[in-house]
Amino acid sequence: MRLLLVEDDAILGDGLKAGLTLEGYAVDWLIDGAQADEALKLNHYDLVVLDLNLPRMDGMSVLKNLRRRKDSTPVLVLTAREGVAERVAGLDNGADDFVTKPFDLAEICARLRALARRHDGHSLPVIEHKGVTIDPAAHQVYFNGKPVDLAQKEFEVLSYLMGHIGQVISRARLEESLYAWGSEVESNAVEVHIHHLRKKLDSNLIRTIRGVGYIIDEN
Amino acid sequence: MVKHFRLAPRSLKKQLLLSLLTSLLLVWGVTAYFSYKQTRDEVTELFNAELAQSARVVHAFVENMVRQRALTKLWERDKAPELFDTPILGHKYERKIAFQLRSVKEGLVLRSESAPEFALSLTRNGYSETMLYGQLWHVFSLSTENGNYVIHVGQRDDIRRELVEGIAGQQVIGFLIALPILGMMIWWIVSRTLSPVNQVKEQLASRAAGFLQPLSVDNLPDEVLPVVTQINSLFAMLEQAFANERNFTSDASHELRTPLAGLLTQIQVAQKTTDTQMRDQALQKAQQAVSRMTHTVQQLLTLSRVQHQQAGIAKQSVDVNQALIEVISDLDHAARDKRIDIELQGEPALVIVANPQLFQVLLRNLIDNAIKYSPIEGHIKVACRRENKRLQLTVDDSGPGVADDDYQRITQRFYRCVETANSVEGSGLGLSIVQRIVALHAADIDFAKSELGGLQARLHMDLAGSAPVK
Repeated sequence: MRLLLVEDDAILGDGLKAGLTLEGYAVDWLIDGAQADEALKLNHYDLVVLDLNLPRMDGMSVLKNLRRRKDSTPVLVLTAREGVAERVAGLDNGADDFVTKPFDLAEICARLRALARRHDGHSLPVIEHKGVTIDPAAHQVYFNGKPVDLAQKEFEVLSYLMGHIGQVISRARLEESLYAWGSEVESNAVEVHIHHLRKKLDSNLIRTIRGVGYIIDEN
Repeated sequence: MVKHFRLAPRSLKKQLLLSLLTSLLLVWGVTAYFSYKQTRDEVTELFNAELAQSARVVHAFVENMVRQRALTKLWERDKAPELFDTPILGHKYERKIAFQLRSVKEGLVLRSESAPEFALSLTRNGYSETMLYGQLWHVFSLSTENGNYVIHVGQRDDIRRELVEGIAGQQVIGFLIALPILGMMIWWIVSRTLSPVNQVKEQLASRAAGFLQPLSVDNLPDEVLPVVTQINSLFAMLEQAFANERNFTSDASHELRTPLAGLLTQIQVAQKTTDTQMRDQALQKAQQAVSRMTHTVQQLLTLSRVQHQQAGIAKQSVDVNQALIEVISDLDHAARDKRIDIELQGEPALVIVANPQLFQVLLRNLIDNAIKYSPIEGHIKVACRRENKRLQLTVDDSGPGVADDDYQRITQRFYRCVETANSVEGSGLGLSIVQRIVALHAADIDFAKSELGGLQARLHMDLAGSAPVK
């Protein structure tokens, strides 16, 4: 999943980028609000982690602009203040969740998973479809009840498609969700991951629609 | 403790009432006394005139009788009381006047009922006072043309006095009735006029402690308005001070929470990763976070220390060059890490009166800032010289400087400029500390663009001996 991290503190930003990357997110990290505003206009993100106290444009304005564009990307707001007023204002301006600093990395990850699955329209933590069970929190996939060993990227591709059952997902979108800015993308990486998934799971699970992308059918 | 006796009460209202009522009573008393006295004199004059008038009426009558030679034959002694004593048709004061007609040869010819038989006066013409049987009489006498008869018209002094007092007393009673009415009016006017003061007092008394809303200035008189305006501006200042204090706590918590979050996240990344290089990096960052927080806490403590210092701190002579050399040698390792060249341009014998520790903190913050914001292999120039009998100390750096709009804001707590907020470790408190120390030494500081390209901090301070030491 492609995630935009906006945090102006060098050490915290670096830590979050590292931690979230370890969780499998493709993390783009920006330190100023105006840049974040631009990035959100130009790119598709599955999740946003947004600090409020930012140079050049504060987080609240970035959030307002995002919602004004009718963009419903889930936003997790980081705040250093304990007041209720800021939370109320944040939620009213379209924030999906709040975390007060300092926080636990595990909590951030859990909240992000919850945000992602609510946004995809299902609130159960485990997705089950055609004998494939995916548990994002445990990073575990079962096929017909037996655990299947998947590489990190393969897991990401599968959970992205399982999160959008019945929708055609383009190759470019899958690539975006796998790679942050600056990381090397092999030209046929997505095809390779799909190929591996078909081998490890039911070969009919993921259907290719030529020239468009991939889909997991509803039935 | 000795309790001082106060002649005037503290209350404006009581003071006004006391002085107004006292002067009213005084003026009233004097006026009433003179008015009484004058009325008495006037009435006495009136009675005297009446005596003369009555005498002339009788005189004209007697003169006529004498001419007709009818007096002695026709009138016997005491035959004409009805002439003057007519109780039915008369006036209540009428009987108070007595009348005698005396023949020089034969004595009393005629008298009114109230008149004694003995002659009322020995005077033949004009006013006189006579003592008769223990009674004082006021008499007007008039003799006939031939000199045979004398007419005396008299009034007993006790009766006259009674009448005079009665008439003059009437006036005093009028005054006595007016006095309480006037007093009540004064009381009412004073209370009414002072009611805005009372309103302000009640507004102040009824508010809870810490409630700093401005007082209402509606319908306030010109004299009270400036006071209330002043109180309101004081309230506003207090409110601002409280807000600053709240902001400080909030800002301080922000400044500590963010690096704390960074520290925790880096530690968790180190725990989670299997990659040794990544773990080392994360631990290194965690260490950086700790040292940054240590710096912030130190600066917070310094700021809180200098903020509660008063201007009366211990001061002594400080050699500016010496202090600069000490601070620069302390910071030398930091400068050498970034291969920054610090140039010191001194002038001998620059001595100021300052608190040596605080002055060092001030210099350290200025030069430390210059080092932090200068690029690697940057240049810093520290210069001090005598200018117009004052010390001018400048610190120039070749860093990015600040935006034109930000020169005013850089001394605010936790203010950090956009360009450098991420790249440079700092608490955002250094210049707040500097500003406070500057204020404690009655010095001044301003910031401008440096010829080296970055920021120039310029401190002006009195040199020792050039100004009285406080």
